[in-house]
Amino acid sequence: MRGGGDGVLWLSDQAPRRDGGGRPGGARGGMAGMGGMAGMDDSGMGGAPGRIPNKRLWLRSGSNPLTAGSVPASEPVLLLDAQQQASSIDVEAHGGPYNVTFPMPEPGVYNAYFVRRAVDQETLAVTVAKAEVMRSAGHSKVEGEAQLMVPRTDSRVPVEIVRERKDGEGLFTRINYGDTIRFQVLRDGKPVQNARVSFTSGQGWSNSVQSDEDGRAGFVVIRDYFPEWREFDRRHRETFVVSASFPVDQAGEWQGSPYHSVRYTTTLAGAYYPAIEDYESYAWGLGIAVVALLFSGTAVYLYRRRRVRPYREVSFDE
Amino acid sequence: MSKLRDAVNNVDLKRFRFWFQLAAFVLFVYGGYLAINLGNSLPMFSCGYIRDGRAGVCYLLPLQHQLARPWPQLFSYAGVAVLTGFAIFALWFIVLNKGWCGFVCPLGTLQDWLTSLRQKLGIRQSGYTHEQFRRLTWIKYVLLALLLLIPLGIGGGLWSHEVGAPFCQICPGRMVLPLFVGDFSQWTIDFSSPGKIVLTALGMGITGLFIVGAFVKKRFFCFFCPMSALHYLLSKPALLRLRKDGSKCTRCGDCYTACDMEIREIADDVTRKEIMTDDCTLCLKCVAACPEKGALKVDFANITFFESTEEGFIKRMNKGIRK
Amino acid sequence: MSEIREVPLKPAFNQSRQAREAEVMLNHIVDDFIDNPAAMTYFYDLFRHAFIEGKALDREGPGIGTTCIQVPEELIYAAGGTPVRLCNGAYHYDQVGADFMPAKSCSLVKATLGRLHSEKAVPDVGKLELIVNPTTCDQKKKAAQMMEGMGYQVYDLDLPSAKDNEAAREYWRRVVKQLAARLQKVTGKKLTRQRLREAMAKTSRAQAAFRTLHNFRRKAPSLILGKDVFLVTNAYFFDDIERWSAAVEALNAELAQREAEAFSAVQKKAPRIVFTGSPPIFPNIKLPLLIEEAGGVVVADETCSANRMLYDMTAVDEWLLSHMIESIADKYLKPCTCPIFTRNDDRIRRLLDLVSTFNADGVVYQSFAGCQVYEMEQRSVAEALNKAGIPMLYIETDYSPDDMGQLSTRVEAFLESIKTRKRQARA
Repeated sequence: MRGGGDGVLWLSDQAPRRDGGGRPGGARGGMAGMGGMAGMDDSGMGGAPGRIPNKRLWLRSGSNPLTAGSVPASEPVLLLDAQQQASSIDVEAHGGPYNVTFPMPEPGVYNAYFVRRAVDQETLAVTVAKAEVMRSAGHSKVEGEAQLMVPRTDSRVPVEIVRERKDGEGLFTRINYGDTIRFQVLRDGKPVQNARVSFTSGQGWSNSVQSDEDGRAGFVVIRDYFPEWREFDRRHRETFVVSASFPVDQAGEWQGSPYHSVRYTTTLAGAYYPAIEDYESYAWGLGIAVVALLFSGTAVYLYRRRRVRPYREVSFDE
Repeated sequence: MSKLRDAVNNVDLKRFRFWFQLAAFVLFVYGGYLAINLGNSLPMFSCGYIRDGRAGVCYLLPLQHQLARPWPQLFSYAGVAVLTGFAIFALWFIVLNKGWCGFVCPLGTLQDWLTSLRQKLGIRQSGYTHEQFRRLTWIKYVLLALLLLIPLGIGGGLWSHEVGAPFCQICPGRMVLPLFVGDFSQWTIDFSSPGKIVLTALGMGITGLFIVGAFVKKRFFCFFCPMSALHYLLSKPALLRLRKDGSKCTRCGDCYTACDMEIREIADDVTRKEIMTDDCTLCLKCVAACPEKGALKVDFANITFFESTEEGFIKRMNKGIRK
Repeated sequence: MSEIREVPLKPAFNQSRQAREAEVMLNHIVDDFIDNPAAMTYFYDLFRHAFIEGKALDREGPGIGTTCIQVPEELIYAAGGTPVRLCNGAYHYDQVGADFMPAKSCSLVKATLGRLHSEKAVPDVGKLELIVNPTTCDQKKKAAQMMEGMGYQVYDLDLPSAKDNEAAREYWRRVVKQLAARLQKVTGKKLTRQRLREAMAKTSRAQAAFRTLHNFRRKAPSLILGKDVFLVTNAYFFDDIERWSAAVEALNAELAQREAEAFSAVQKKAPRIVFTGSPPIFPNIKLPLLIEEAGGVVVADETCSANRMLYDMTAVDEWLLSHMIESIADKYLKPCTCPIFTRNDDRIRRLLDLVSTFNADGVVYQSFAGCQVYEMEQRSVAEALNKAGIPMLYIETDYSPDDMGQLSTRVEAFLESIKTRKRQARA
C-alpha cells in the first residue's frame, strides 16, 4: 500500500523539495541509524579544527517521504542533547517552512521532539514528531559508546516511539536492507498495546501492524532501490517514517475547549542504506584469492621443477 | 657493564625476536580490547581494519584519507592535520627506524611465522636472482607514489571517492590481519563501482599471492611495501642505526645468508658505513650472523648496544647445529 | 745353532730421505726453542709418528683427498668420508714430482704430485677413493690429469676465477651441489640434514678452537710462537678432526694459563710479523722458523695452510639441506683470499686488518718460485702496505734448503730495520 498525503507530521533532516517531496536518496544526513560522519558538517577525522557541527531539521507533513511537503508551525522543539540536557529550540522560519537548527558539540544521540496539541470536534489530537540524530566521531570509537546508545525517553513528552537498537549498535552503525527494526510505542513512559504502527519506506511503500502487549512492533526494511548497476551507490540513503496512533477515551479541556476523547499520533523518521550483501561478494573474494593462490603456488612449483635443468639461464634473440 | 654487554652480544636473537614479535603482534592486534590506543600514525601495518582489537592504526590509512580532502581544504586547514599526522608518524619512526618492520609490524611477523612453518615442513626457500632483485626493488616506490597521488587526484576531483585509500584496498594486511580477531568481512569483492571492483579484486589476488609468496620467500611482501619506501626516505635522522666497519669485514657472506631480504650490499659493500638499505627491515639477523667483532653493529643515538662478536656468533651457531 | 738375523731388504723408514728431512725440521722446531707449550707435545708426537716413523694414521671412512682449501670438508664428513689435504711440503717429494712439471714450477704442486707418485708415502692416510681438485691455479689444474695418470680418481671442482659477481656465486653453489651428489656416490651414504649438521658441528668446533688460538696471538708479548701454530694447522691436513680439536683446545687452555701468569714466549721487543703468501707446510716451515730464530715472532698469517683454511665460519639461517649447502658454498668462495682470483682487494684488506689488530710491525711475503699468482700479487700488496707505512719483506724461495743462509741474512736485516724503526719512532 502506498502511503499518502495523510497529514502525518514528522521531523526530517532532509529539506523538502519545492514540489513537495524530500530528496529521494543520495543526500546525506545524520538521522537515526544512518551511521558515520556523512551529513555532519565536518565531524571526526580531519575536520576543520574547532568547528561545532550543526544540525537542521524540517517539519514535514505526509507519511510518504517522496511526497511529504513542508508545513509552517510555531511550536518550539524540545532538545535532549547527548548529555541528556534539555533545552528549547525556537523555530527559525516564522510562518514559512518550519525548521530548527541546533549544535551538536559532543558525539552521541540527540533527541528532538515537536509536540502539538489541538482540539477538533471534541477530540484532542496530540501529535509528537520525534527525531533521533546521531553524531559519531568519524571512524574512531567513542568512549562509553554503548552507554550513549541506550534509547532515552523524556517525561515531558506525552507519547513517543523508541527504536530498539541493533546488536552492538554504535554511533556509526547503519540500518540496512533486510534488517528487522523494532519499535516500542510509549505513552507517559508506559507501553501502548494495539496502537496502529505504520512503516513507510523511502519510496512510499508502507506496512501497518498493531503493537503487542509490550507496545512493540517490528518491520523488515525492504529493499526499494533498484538502479542501473552503473548508477548504484552503496551510500544511497533512503528515509523511512514510522508512525503510531491510537485513541484514548479521556475527557478534559484544552485551552478552553472541552473534549471527550484523545487521539495520540507520534512519528519517528530514520535512514537506511544498501546492505553489504547488496554489493559485496564473499564468493568472488574467496574465489579470486584461491585462484591467485593456486596459480602462484603452481607457478612456483613448476618454476622450481624447471630450474632443475641446468644451462638454460641464457637465451638469445634469434 | 661489560658482562651486560657480553650478555647482549651473545643473545639468541632468533628466540628474542620470536617473543618480541609475538608480544608486539598481540599488542597491536588485540591491544584495543584492553583500551590501548597508540593513535593513527604508526609506522607499520597495525591495520585499521582490525575493528576493535587494534591498538593503533597504520599511518597509510589516515594519510590516504587526509590527502583525499578537497584541495581548497587540503591547502588550508586540512593541511595542518596532514602535517601533524606526518609529524607524529615521523616521531614514532625516528625511534626505531626500520626496526618497526623487523620487530613490530604484525604483517612482517606473520610472514616470519609462515617462513617457520615452511621450515618445519622442510620446503626450501625461494630467492630472487640479482637481476630480478634490481628490477623489483623499485615497485615499492611506485606504490608509494600511487598511494599519494591517487588520493590527491580524488581531492582535486580528477576521479571518484570510490578509489579512496587505494593502497589499503590492495594491501593483504586488510584481508589477513582482521582474521586474527575473527573478522572475515574484508574477504569480499565490492561490486558497487568499477573502481571498487578493480581494487578489491586486486586486493584478493594479492592476498592469494601473499600467502604463497610469504610461504616460499622470506619477507615476501616487505620487498614491495610502500611503508618501507617511506621509511627509507625519512631514515637519515633515525636513532636506531645499523652500521658496518668495512675494514673488519671478510665478505664471507654470512650476513647475506641470514638476510631475509637478500640484500647483497650487507656482505659486499665494504666502504659504506651506514649500511641500512631501502629493503632492510632492521631485523638484526645479519649482526647475529657476523663472526667478525665489530664489523656490524647497532647503535641507538650513537651508542652501540649490540654488535657482532665471535663469541656470540659461535654460541648461536652451535645452538643451531645441535638443535 | 747360530742365530741368523734377518736383514731387511729395505732400510727402515726412519732411515729414508723424507724421514731425515722431516726429522731435521722437527728437531729445529722442538729443540731450538725453550718453553715450548706442553700441549704441543701432541703435535710433535703426531708429526714424529707420521713423518719420521712413517706410521699409518687411522682415519674413519673412505679417504677423500683435497688439493686446495676450497673443497667443503663438511660435505665429505657428511657423506661419511674423511678429507685429507694432499698439499705437501717435502723437498724429497718436490724432487720426485719434478718429473711431472716444468722446471720453473711451484714446489708445492711438484711435492704434492711427488707424494702421490711415491709408494709408502707419508703421511700415510690409507687409500684415497677420490681426489677433489679445485681449479685454482694453472699448475693445480694441469696436475689433475697427471694424478689420474697415477691411477687416482680425480674430480675437478670448478672454482670461478672471479668471485665478486653473482653469476660466480650461483655457479659455485651449483658446483658444490654437484660435488655433494658425487660424494654420495663415492661413499654410498646419503646426505641428510642430520649428517650435514653433525659434520658442520665438527668443523665448527675445530674452527672455534682455531679462532681461540688465533686470538691468543693478539697478545703482546706473544704467548706462543708462529712455528708451533703452523705445525698445529698443518696437522689439520691429515689428523682426525675431533682429536685435533681436542688437542687445540688443550693448547688453548695452556695459553690461557700462560696469559694469567703473564708468561712471555719471546722478548718484549721482538718484531711482530704477519706472514703471507705461499703456505708453509711441514717439513717446509723454514721461513717462519728463520724469522723466529732471528728473534722475531710470527703473530698471524694469511696463508692457505693456516688462517685462510680455518678462519671463516659458516652461518646458516634455515637448517634445510639446500640452504646449508649454499651457505657452506658461500663460505668457501666469498671470503677466500686466494691469489688466483682476478682481484685481490680482499686479501689486501685482510692483511691490513691483521697488521693493525695484531699490532704487527711488518709483513713477510713468501712466494714459491714458480707460483705466478703470488709473484704477481706481490707488487699490489707491497704498494698497499707501503701506503699504510708497513714494511714488507718479499722472499722468493722453494723447498730446497740451499738458500737458508742467504734467507737468514735477509730476514735478520729486515727484523733489524724494524727494530730501528721502532726505536726511532719511540725517540
